[in-house]
Amino acid sequence: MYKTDCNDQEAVAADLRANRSEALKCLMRKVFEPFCWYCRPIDMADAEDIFSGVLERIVPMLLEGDSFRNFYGLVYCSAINAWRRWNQQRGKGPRILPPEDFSRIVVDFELPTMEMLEEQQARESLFAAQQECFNQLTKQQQDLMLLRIVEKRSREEIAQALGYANANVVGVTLNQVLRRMKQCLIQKGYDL
Amino acid sequence: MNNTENTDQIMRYDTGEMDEAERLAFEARLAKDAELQADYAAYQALAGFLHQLSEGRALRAQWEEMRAQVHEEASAEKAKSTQPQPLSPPKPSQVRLVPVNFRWIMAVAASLALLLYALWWWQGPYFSRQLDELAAANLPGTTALIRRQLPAGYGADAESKAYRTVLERIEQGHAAAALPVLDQVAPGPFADFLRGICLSVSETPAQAIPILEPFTDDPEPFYRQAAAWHLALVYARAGDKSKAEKMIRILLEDPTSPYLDGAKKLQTRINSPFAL
Repeated sequence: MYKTDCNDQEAVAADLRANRSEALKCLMRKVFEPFCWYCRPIDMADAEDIFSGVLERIVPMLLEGDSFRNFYGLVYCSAINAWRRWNQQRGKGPRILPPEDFSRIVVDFELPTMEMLEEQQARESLFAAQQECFNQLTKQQQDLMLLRIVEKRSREEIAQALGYANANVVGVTLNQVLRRMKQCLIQKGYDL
Repeated sequence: MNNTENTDQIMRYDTGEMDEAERLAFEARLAKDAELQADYAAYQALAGFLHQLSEGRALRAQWEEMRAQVHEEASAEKAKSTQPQPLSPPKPSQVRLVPVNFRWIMAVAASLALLLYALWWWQGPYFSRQLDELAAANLPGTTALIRRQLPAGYGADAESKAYRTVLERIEQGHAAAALPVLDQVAPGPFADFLRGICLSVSETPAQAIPILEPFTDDPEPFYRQAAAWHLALVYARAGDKSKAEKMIRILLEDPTSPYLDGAKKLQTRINSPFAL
C-alpha cells in the first residue's frame, strides 16, 4: 500500500497534486495538529473550519510553484494568520503578526523566510481580490467560467448545460464576464 | 481582454479547439502583437485563479471528508471503550462472598455504632452531673432531718458542738473533713449513721456501704430512708443498677418519704440506656 513520506515535502506536494488522501493526512499530522496546539484553546470545529479555508485558498496556490522546501511552513503561517483574522472579526485577539514574528514559533519543519512570507501574502491578497470579484458574479456566470476555462468544455456543451440559447450567447456572455472581472480587479488595484 | 476577438481566439487556443494551422497562426501573432500578449497574460492570470479555486474546492471537500472519517473513527473508538461488556457468568475469583449492598449495610451499622458510642461517652459525665445535682438537692433535707434527730441535750457541750461542726461541714461540702470530728463523739448508732452519710458524700463513697446497709432495715423511717437514699446514690455512681433500684424501692414504699421525688428522678436516670 502506498504511503506518503510526510518528511518529504516535495513528495507530499506531488501527492496532493495527484489527489492522494495520504498527503492530506501528512498535512493533518504535521501542520494541522501543531496549528490546533498553537491556537488553543479553540473549538475543534472552528479550527477545522479555519484550516480547511486555508487549504482551499493556499495549497493550490503553493502547488503552482516549483519549490516545496517550505510547503508546511507556508501552510502553517497562513493558517495562523487566518486564525488571527478570524479572532479579529470576532472582536478578539491581537492584530495580524508581521512575518518576522513567526520566527518565535517552534515546529519540526522549516519555517519560511520573511521574503517568502511577504511574497506569499502578496499572492494571497491577489487571490482574495480575485475571489471577491468572482463572488460578485451570478452563479450561472461563475459556472460558465469554470466550465469553459477549467473544464475546457465546448461552448455548445455549456449552452446546453447552463440553459443558454446557443453557443454564440455563451461566447458573448463569457467575454462580458471576463471584462467585468478585469474591471473589478483594476478597481481593486490589480492591472493584469 | 477588451478585444472580444482576441478573447475568443485565446480561449479557443487554450481549450485546444484550434486546428494546427490556426494554432500556428495564433502563436505567430502572439509573438508580435503586444495587445494580444497583454490579453493573453490577463487571461492566464484569471485562468490560474479559476484553476486554483476549483482545485481548492476539491481539496477542501477531500479534507472535510477525511476529517469526518477521523471523527467517525474516534467516536467508534470511544463508543467501543464505553460499551458495556456482554453478560457472562463471573469467574470464581470475581464472585463476591457478600452482595455489594452488604457493604452499605455494614457502613451504616458502623456509623450507628460510632454514634451510639459517642452518645454514651457524652452521657457519662452528664449522668454523673445529674447524680451530683440530685445529691446536692437532697442534702439540705438530710441535714435538716439529722438536726431533728439529734440526741436530747444537744446544746453547748463538746459533743453537741462536734455534731454541729459535722453538719456544717457536710452542708459546706467538706464531708471528709467532718470524719475526724466524728471521732470526738461517743460511739453509737447515730455517730455511725453520720459517719456513713459523710462517707457517702466524700471521695470514698464505697466505704459508706457497710456502715449504711444495716440502717436500710431500721424500723425508724428517718434512718431507713436517709440510708437508702445515700446508698442508692452510691450504687448508682458505682454502676450497680440492681442494688440502686433496691434502695429506690425502699424509698418508694413510703409515700411520705422526703426523698420520694429524688427517688423517682434517680430511677428514671438509672433506667436510661446510657446511664449505667
